Amino acid sequence: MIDFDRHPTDLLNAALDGRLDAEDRAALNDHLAGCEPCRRELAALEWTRAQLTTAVDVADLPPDFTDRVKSTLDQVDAEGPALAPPAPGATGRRWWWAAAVAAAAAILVVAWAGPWFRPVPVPAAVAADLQAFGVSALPLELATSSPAELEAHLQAANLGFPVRVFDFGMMNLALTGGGVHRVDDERSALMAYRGADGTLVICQMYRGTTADLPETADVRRHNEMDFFVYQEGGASLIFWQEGDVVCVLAATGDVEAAVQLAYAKAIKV
Amino acid sequence: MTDRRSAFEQVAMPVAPALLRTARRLVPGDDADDLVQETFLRAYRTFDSFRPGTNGKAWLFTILYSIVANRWRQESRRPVLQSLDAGDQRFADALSADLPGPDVLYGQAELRAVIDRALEGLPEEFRATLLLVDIEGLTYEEAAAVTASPVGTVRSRLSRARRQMFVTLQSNGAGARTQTDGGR
Repeated sequence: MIDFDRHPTDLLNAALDGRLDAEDRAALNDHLAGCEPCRRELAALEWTRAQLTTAVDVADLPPDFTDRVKSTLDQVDAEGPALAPPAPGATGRRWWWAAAVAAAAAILVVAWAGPWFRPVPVPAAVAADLQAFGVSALPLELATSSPAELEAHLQAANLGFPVRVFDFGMMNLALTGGGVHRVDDERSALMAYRGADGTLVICQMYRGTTADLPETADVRRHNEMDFFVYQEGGASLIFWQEGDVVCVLAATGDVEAAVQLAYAKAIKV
Repeated sequence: MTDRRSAFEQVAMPVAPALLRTARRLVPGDDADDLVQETFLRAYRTFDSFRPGTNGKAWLFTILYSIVANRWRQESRRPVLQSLDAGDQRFADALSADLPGPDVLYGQAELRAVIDRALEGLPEEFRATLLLVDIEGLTYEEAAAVTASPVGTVRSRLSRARRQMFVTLQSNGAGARTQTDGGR
């Protein structure tokens, strides 16, 4: 029920947009009948919206726009289906790059998921995040090599859980930055690292449960904790539970090296 | 043409003008056209992620917004910190002034120019939210998903954007009236 002891200015936009239920709308109308300032404000908002909708009309497309779009779509069609892994002896880099660009396109979509997107399995989504990082297409709110600075930034984001920024300096992995991201439609704490040898690692923490992850045959037990290991698109992903938070470490390179990194950073809660 | 291509064009091509309309007001100059082309490219590549029968327009705007937001980040744009109190006071002052609106003083083309300048004066996230809801007709929930923001944030940005637009449009109306009246 609306508190009408004060002017319900917060509700005027909701009323304008038809978001009040019948009871609240009726109560607001009663208030407006006796409140000139609120009537003026509602009128001002209505007027403003009317100016916008009158003045901003549908754009005329440039003459060659549709042809350019279709040409772009033709190029995608010519690329064919998903690229196969490189043949023995071939350099993997070009395949990695092309797959990463495609994945980066996907992850920029997944990161802002809405009800119009099919659900993407979490390991695939995190692997796409790693690939996006590899082509500098992963949004990092804060570029920093300081774990303390990133940790302070993430704590200030009020994610609802204590954030730890892992320091992999001893493993020759340098922090490059991080920020608030999303995993499984939950806000996550993201940290990104690069090794001198080109190894890429991202870590994320988010509210959830490993019970929601797809099944994997590769479950490791270490320090009385379960570690769920996946391999997607050239990346190794290791998930584990710390209280009501899921931690995931995604890395390029050797899967066993990635598992050891996860073991090093996991804390039994 | 494959079924996939045909299905994609059915969903996406009708939205192209709306995407361009919004892109032109989110990024300056000629870049809007390229951003919409990039949107189509990414959308087609990831068309398998689209749930058939759901809001294709919102889906495409999600992709466009992700491209634009990434560009804002790369340009290291910092949010314009505005004093809520100062903004509220300006709005209250504009409400109490008895001025005709721009539509009284300007022709349609001039109104369009005034609106565009007023939109440019909004912080980017406010501008985007206003365009998505008031021009493109997305619900608060859809705009929240497109911009990866809570619904409460959409509500707040929309309210502040409308207030700031009102203040700017009224200021323009006052300026034009002064001109028309020979400075009286």
